[in-house]
Amino acid sequence: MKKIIVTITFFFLFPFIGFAVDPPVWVEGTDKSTATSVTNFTWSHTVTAGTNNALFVHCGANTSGNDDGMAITYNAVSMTEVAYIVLVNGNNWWFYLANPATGANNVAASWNTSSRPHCEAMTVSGVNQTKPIGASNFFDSSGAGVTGDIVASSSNSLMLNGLFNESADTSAWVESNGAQNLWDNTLAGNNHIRGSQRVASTSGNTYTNGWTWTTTRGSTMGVIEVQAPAVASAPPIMSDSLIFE
Amino acid sequence: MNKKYLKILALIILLGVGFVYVNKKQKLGATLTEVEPEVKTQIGYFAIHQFRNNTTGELIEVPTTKEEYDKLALPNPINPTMNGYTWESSWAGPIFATSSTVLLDNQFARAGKDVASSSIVRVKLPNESEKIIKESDLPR
Repeated sequence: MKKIIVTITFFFLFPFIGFAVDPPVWVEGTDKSTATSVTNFTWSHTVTAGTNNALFVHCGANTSGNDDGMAITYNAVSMTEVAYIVLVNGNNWWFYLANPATGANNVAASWNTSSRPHCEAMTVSGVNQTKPIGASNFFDSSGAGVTGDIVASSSNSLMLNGLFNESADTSAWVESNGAQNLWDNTLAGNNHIRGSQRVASTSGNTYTNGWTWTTTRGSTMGVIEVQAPAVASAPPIMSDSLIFE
Repeated sequence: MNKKYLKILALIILLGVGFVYVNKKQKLGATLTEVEPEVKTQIGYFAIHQFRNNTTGELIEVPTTKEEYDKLALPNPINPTMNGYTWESSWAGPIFATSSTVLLDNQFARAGKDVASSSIVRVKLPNESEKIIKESDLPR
């Protein structure tokens, strides 16, 4: 009886000890590109079964100036767009969907202006299902690199970084601060898309993201913070009658 | 006739001609507006399935219809198949027909977007048929 009371008292006073969550984990990705100026694009992406899955889609195009009506569905379910920011060196979009259907389903993107978007769909597990996205920001560059800061809004989150670059340059690409490369696709038409991930460990800290390369070209970069599930609450407190029975 | 009166008469005539000329130039120049040289009209859609050769990796494009393309976005779609190939993706887009803009009165349009012809314009003035002139000769 004494052990039970001590244990309950401990969890009551320190409910978060022992319940730290792991950061989200990037599981799989599919990157695709179109070959001509189009307004609709569809490809298949497989979501494997996992805990707290979320689907993310990043697209880039050399149009700019407005959102261009970009809309994306997965298995006919509308995805949510991360707050769009107007850029001048190209468009950069991020979309997400919590708890996507597992298995192979189609991603369908549509927009208004005939152009050549290049997209990646990716599955991430261990994602906060009620608020998958924390901070986000988008950046522009016309030089030989692009860099931008983002302040983590929670701990143990995963930073996903999607780049669109109007260049076929594949040499000397360096990710900032040891970010891990996820996808790297040099496309017909002198366009290049890249993606990377990095774990942000502390809420409120500033994390610098970016790449450097050798060719001076217009580029855009979108960085999103994928949040881990909220810290687990303490286990239910036993009733008085149980404690003192 | 007295030389003095002749000078006054000549001055009045000069002022009158000048007034008419300036007035005409201002009226034309003030109302001219530039319009796009071409108009695009959507006349349909094209759609493509892209497949990858299972042996060589070569990508090929196979035309399809917009109706078939749209079915891919539905739940549980039947994705395209081809013997010896794997479906990669599909896309669709509008088909446009391009024609020259019909100019209305007091409108002008550049003859082309390339550098060589950028100084040539089509212009339509009231009571005149459309004509091609140098941009520097536009009434201002």
